[in-house]
Amino acid sequence: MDALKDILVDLGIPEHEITEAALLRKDLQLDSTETVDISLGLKRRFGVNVKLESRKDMTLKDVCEMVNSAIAATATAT
Amino acid sequence: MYLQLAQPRQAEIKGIGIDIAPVSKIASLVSRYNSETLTLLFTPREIEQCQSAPHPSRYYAVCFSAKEAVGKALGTGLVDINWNEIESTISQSGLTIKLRGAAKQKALQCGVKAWLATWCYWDDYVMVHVLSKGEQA
Repeated sequence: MDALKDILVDLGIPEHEITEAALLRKDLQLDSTETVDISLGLKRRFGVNVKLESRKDMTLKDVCEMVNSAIAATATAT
Repeated sequence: MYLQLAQPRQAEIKGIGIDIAPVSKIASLVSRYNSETLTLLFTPREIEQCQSAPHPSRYYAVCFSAKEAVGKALGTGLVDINWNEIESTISQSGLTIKLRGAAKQKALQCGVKAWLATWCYWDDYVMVHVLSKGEQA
């Protein structure tokens, strides 16, 4: 969550809005370029591809879980 | 004696997608990541094309916007489609769209046989307009 928080702060999201329950689109009002920016930031930090475009709005907790799963899958594969 | 005239094959429009992207925002994104990281978003060919273009940021914005526009024309956005599965080749007069992987499969499922695309820019924005075409006998 800390890494995700850093990326969001760099995007100009106020720190008090960054909670596990916050929704990417509804609460944080992220557009597609910002969503992609998060994916690129996560790839740079953790070396994993996390796709944030989905039909359903995702919470930051959902994103953290996706990152953890992707890291675990990468570790298992190597 | 009856003479049957051949009916011209008519292109059937399957979908329309329009997207507008702010060039400065895309430029900021591109400047903060290396080429390897950017391959999550752009194909190596797009990166090469944009880097050697007279206005790299504008070209990156067109490629980005084209991906969004294609997603809209397919009716699903970029859900289940990777950004780098949609490739644009930019020219002064237009835009050529090439799909691969899941994006190509999705287009085939939708009966899309070809793409028509155009782009333009003004101030800090680019706009991409795509039409997906099928074929009617």
